[in-house]
Amino acid sequence: MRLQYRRRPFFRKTRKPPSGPSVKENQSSSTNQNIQQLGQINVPDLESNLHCISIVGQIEGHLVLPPQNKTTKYEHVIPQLVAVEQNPNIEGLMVILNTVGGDVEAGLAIAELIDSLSKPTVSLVLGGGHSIGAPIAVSADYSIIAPTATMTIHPIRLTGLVVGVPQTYEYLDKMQDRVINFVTSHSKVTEDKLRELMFRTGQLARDIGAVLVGHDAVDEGLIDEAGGLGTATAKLREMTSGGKPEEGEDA
Amino acid sequence: MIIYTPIPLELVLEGNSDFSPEYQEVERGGFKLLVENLGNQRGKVVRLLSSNPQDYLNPLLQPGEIIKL
Repeated sequence: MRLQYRRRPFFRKTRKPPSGPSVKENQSSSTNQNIQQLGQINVPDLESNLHCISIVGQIEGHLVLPPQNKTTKYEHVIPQLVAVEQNPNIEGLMVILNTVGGDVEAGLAIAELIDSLSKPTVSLVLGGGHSIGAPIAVSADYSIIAPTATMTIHPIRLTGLVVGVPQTYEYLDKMQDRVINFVTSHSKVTEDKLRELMFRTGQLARDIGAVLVGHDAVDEGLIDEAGGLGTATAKLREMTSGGKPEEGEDA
Repeated sequence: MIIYTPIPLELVLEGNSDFSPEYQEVERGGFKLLVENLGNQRGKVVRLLSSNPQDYLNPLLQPGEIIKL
């Protein structure tokens, strides 16, 4: 009898958490998960009229990439952009980029959606906005690059199921033109300049192309301004409030 | 399909041949999710199957979230 009495509380203690899923428990488990996955707890709830989408790692397209890749899934970002467009509580969108490129079609799809969003958009390149990250960076109404961030501009190379025939070159050229046309029509860089950057030699160890660090990207006309989070938020606030900056500078 | 990245392709696609995750569809709180079975009754959200764009802003339904199966 005594043994049973002793055992029961122990049994209860261990069994209790899995049973009875409540909202509160759901919240605490999501907090635990945040600690586990991101090393941080939830920040206090704050109603924000801005929405932030971060494009990190590889932009995953039609092919599911192996798990060592950190990816941004376009099938999730696309409806998010639709939600941003539709949600009346969201007045502006900030796109934060730290990407090594990825699928051309997925990247262009995201870029086209950001471009055609009717709400003000600002992009901020941190760390890197390489390859297909460039069209996404320039697709926003206003683009900002951190002074230490880099953008690699290089030609599209052969991947996937393409046969080695002379027409292959034309195909690649067409794919290249899609990217070049998008970038030149959404930034101040000219087509000739962009092609020159793309085929520059001596900057990349295993490839041709150019590496633009912070201010270089601004000087070439690819990005509008060098700055950081403060600059981006201030710009977005200015755009959403119709030109008048709100409550003091916090940049 | 073209992958446009400065990272060497062999690095991006490393392990692609033996990468075959097990996916299953589950329903959680009225949301249909495509989940990768991690074993041990745990699953990682791969994709949200919904036609309501606002659902995609829900942090608990983001790809990568771990749920109990």
